[in-house]
Amino acid sequence: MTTHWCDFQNADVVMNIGSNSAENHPVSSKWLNRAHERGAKWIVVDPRYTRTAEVADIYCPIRSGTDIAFYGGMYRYIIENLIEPNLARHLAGEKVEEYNFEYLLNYTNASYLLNEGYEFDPETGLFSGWDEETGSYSAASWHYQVESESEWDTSAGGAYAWAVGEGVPEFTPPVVEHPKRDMTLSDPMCVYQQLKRHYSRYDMDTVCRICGMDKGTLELVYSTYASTAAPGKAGAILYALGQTQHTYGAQNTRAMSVLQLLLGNVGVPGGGVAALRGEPNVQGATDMGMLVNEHPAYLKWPNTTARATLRKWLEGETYSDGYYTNKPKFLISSLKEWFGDAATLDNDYGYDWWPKVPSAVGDQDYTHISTFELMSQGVIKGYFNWGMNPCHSAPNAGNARRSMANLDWLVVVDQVLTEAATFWKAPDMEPAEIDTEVYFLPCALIYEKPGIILNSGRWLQYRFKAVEPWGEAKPDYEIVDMLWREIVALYEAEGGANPDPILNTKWDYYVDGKIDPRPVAWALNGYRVAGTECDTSADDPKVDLLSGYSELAADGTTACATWIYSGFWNNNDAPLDPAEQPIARRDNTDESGLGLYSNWAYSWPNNRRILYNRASADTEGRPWSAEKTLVEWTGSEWNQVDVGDFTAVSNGVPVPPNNNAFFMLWEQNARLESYGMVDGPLPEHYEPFETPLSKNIVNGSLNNPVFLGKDYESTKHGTAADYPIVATTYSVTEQWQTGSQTRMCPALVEAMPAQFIEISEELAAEKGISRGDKVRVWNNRGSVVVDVVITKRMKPLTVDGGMQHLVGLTHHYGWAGAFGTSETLVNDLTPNVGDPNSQTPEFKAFLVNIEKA
Amino acid sequence: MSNGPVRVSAEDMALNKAFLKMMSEGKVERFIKRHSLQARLTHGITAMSCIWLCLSGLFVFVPALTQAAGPDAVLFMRMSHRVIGVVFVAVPLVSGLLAPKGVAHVFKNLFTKWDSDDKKWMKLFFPYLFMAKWIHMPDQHEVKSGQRFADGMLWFAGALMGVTGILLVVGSSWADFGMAAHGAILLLHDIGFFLIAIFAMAHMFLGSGIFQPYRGLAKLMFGNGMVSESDALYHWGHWAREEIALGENVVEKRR
Amino acid sequence: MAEKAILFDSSFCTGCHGCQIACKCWNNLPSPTGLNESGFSGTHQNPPDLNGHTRLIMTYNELEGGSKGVMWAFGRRACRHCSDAPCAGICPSGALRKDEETGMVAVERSKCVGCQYCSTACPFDVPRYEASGPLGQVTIVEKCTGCVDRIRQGMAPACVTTCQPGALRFGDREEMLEVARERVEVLKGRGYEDAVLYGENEMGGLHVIYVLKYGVEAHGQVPNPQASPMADLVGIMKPLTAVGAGAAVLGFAAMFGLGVGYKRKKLAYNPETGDTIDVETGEVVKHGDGQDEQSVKEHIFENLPVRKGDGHE
Repeated sequence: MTTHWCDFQNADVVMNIGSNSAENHPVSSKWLNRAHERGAKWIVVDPRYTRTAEVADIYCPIRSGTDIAFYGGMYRYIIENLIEPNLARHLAGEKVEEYNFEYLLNYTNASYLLNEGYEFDPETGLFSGWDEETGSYSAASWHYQVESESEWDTSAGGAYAWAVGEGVPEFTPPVVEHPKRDMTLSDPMCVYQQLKRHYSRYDMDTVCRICGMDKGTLELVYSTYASTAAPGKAGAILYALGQTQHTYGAQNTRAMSVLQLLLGNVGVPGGGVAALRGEPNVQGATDMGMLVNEHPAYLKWPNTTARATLRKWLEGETYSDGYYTNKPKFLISSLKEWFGDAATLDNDYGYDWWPKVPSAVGDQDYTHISTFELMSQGVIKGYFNWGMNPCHSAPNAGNARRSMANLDWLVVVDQVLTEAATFWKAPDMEPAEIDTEVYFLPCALIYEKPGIILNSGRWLQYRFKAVEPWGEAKPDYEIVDMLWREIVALYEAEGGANPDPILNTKWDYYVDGKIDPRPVAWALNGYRVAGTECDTSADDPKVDLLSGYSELAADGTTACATWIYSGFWNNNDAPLDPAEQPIARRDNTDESGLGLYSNWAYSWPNNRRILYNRASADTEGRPWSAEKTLVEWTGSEWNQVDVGDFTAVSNGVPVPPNNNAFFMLWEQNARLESYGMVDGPLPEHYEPFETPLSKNIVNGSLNNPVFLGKDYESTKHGTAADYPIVATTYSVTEQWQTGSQTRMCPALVEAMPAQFIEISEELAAEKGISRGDKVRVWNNRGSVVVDVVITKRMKPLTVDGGMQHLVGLTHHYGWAGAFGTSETLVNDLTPNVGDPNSQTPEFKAFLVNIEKA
Repeated sequence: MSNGPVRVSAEDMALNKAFLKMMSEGKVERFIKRHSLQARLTHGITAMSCIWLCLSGLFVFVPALTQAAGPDAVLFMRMSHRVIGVVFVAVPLVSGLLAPKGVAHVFKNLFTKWDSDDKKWMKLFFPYLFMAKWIHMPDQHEVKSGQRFADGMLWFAGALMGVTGILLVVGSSWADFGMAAHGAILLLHDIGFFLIAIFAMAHMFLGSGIFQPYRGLAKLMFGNGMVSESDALYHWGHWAREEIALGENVVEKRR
Repeated sequence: MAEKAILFDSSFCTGCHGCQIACKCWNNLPSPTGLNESGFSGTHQNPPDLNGHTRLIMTYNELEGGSKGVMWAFGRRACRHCSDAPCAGICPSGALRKDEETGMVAVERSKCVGCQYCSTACPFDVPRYEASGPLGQVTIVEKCTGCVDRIRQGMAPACVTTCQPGALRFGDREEMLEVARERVEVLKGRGYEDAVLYGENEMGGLHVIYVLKYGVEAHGQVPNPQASPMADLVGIMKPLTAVGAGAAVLGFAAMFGLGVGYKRKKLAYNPETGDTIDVETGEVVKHGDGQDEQSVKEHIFENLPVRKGDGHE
């Protein structure tokens, strides 16, 4: 998230949408309650009345999968009620109390002019740039009009002299474009005018028709949340998988960002877009490139088109301005860590040894959903299933297990026998017909190994081992090391199709000959190559750790696997002692008074607690609210309560305030409109893959035109005629994800002994279902039998004039387990389609029918 | 018993004298069989169980006793309460099944109609307890009227204890009657204990012959089950005369 | 040590079950381990009630109404630690007793005799009893102990320590009451008109203080709790039995004393004549088997020494 858990206490309005923080993130309640006690208003927007809704002040129901309509309506509300009536006053120099025009005009791209070719056609539901043949967009028309251009100063002593230094791969530096702006926001092509026009269709009546809430409640939510537009006020949006698990999940996230930018809520204490991560270390997994589409530390993987060579990567990925002008340093340092001495200037630092993501139009996608398609097609023959349980958690899980039965071999690394490890034991599988060789490697649980954990607020913390692993279980890094040595030995002995990437990979994280996470921490932090040996002895470690990422170089003299972490393990005096590193800090004094706790653990990047914190102060460097100072220009220098997220000092000289509040973007202004998405520059409402409506109420395209997985046969689209009930899935606090771990705890099984479907009393009466019954839930993809919770907390909604039933299912139980099991898997029902940007599956909105089992 | 003397005809007087002479010369004493061996065994076992149950029950009833005894002793007492409770319930039931006629006899006696001697005896009973030396009591049938009342109470209280005891065990192991019902059962068990405590003590005081006029009666239940002619005439005059006249249950013993 | 109290503020509670599970873990209370042995209640309330291995459960009442359309009233079901604790008063073995220092009703399980008087006395239906073994010989009375063991070591009860949203607090009872009163005012100000403080005076004052957002009954609390009348009756039975038994023993002693020196004639019956004869004197004491003809009064006074000198031999 852009902020951190403790910062919730500074919010003036909290809005949970697509998250159930009280349920799934219990610790958050501690900080949210503090805000509430200070007088903050708390809103929950959710298809059902959740545990969070109970503690909140306002509850607004919403049909699953219609969030963008809700946000669009709020944009229109803000434009109509706050911006339009006051813009002229602001431009005339009057002080406007209720809206932060300074933020909108200076820190966002509201004033930027878009290309003349930019257009959205409500008739077709398509933006300009649509290619009917390929079914994809070209983003060219979504860019800005350019006022002027300038070039990098790479001369000796120039700001970019490093880019042509010795050892730096040759590349043409990007041209700095200076977009055209209209600071009066009146030019029809300016982002603000386009935004206003785009969302003029989203009036409250239309929003209610789509989403199903009543207008009074919607208006209360809009007016309450929009009150944070006042300078000095902050609203926090708390979201989770309820936003992301849609065929437009990334646009949902964009939509929240746009809302927060319109209200001036990004970068201020108590604001932000708070992604509540579901797993203790999922933020870490994302940082570390556990996602197929992201290289560690949010760099892009090579691909077969725009990033086919190192030069192309450097020229395409390096920003013309802002902090990402340094990307070559991050990439070369990463390559140096990846391939060590084998990475040289002459071989492009081993860039070509990295696998390349197929990226031409029509190329095969290899993400989660597609993996199972490729298994069923026989393309993927072997599968390492490490620390996940796709047989249970993948959408269309029945398809996943049937696909896995097509594998030659499967390796499952987990603490317990999961559904994936025993996929052939599923009640509907025939073990005799399955030839897959399954290997199970028991691994240590988090408490059974030392290591680093990272929370949603980007705080890294070192934790020591508490207990020994059971039996033969080993920490993951030991398992990897054993496999690695065997694989390398095989390549050395036998050669193979493509041995270079394997044989040249640097794998030397040993202390006294034993694999150890501490040299790995050096690699993540970064070090000077000269003077460092990762394969070290405990008595005499040789390492020259970097103090932070500002010391990274693009000339091969530094190595760093994840530049964003640089600085978290930088004590050269005791490089092998975790307790002496920044990430082991346990000082909970709060000098800021804002709950920054800067001496507790380490927050990436650079121990910065609130990202974009430059936006917490006006263009003169004065904080919007004196009580909430993160950074402040004193007249001669920057007072940094939090580590400034901007260039505060250049070459030792303080840099006076300017409008570069978002220096991770080349514009250094935040994007209300963005050309970075594959499915449109502005969030537009589309219906979920399976929708109860036959047409989109606001435009001519029922679904997101570019969603992922539309061509897979296994997807089996269902219609409202057969499956009239909208379903969503979620978790309960007592169980965690697929339950593999929590169902091993009898006390947790006792507290939540079953997965269930939540239905309204109205639906129960209609279907003759009563408490204690089992319910069969089915659609084209599967049929499951679950317990029922009949509740007042779930109510039918009025959607497009008709009554619409909604149900929710939890998904924690499966056939594997010792204390609590279920014959059927809820994810047999969810569709294997996903978001085209992030490839996240649509678990949160689909259609089913139900009956008493 | 009567107080006499009664004047009788000379003829009868002579017969009586001959009778007395025969008895003393033959050195014979007459006894009447009153309780069978089975009855005596059943009574003995049940009585001992009851005493143990009262004592062990006290460990639940009396906090000071419990706390002084310590957990181990209390555990022993509690467990024995359950084991002996089973004996207390089972033995009379089994015995009754083996001798249904005896059971019928017992209960017939309990509910037999009270005649004028019965009523008078009952009225005199409390004065008698304190003035046994001076009060002579009206003759009685096989079971004295007061005895019938006391035995009835013991039967009732015993049955109450047995039933509530079983329910308490069942209710805290295999079944759940709910706390209100459980509380009511507990209260009934306590009332039963009150009744047993009072009536059993009285029963022991009289029946074991601690009370001087009743001395020797202990043998009826804890001896050979026979009562001497003289004692029988004193306690159950009507019954004794009937039995002696019938002679079936009369045993003559040499002195 | 001042009197202590746990404060449960339902308005902060998120019903996460954390307290319930922390209680189980800290107190080593087992959960069912048979496959799917834990049945589902049909609501979030699992297990549905307290039991022999569960001292604390969260409750989840759903009510229609309120500004949000629905009210999900979270509650805490466990011992309230009454000042006038009827369970401690009725417990014969001292297994339940008031901890005078903290005000908590502590449990010493080794002393429990399994009588269940406590369960019948409790106005909140809290103490649970679990017996196992063929004779029910292993007995456990289960009830929140207030974590008196932890309190003595300067810690808060396990449930309080684990509570993330701050719905549970622990401290001096007076202070908790103060906090609770303030919270009720805050909630009323926020539109929860039925918000109420519970536990200040109930049963002489509880040591679990409740802030109930939607009122007493909505959160599953007992309005105006009273000790069970059964408990009073059971309380009467003990002295009654003691007095009864004592009086009886005294009476027997008197009877015994007055009966000392008692002698009576040896009798025989001659069926031939129908005479009952005094064996020593040969006198006939009764002829035939007729009913007694004297009055009760005559029976009492006929042989009294004051009335008749010859008396009884």
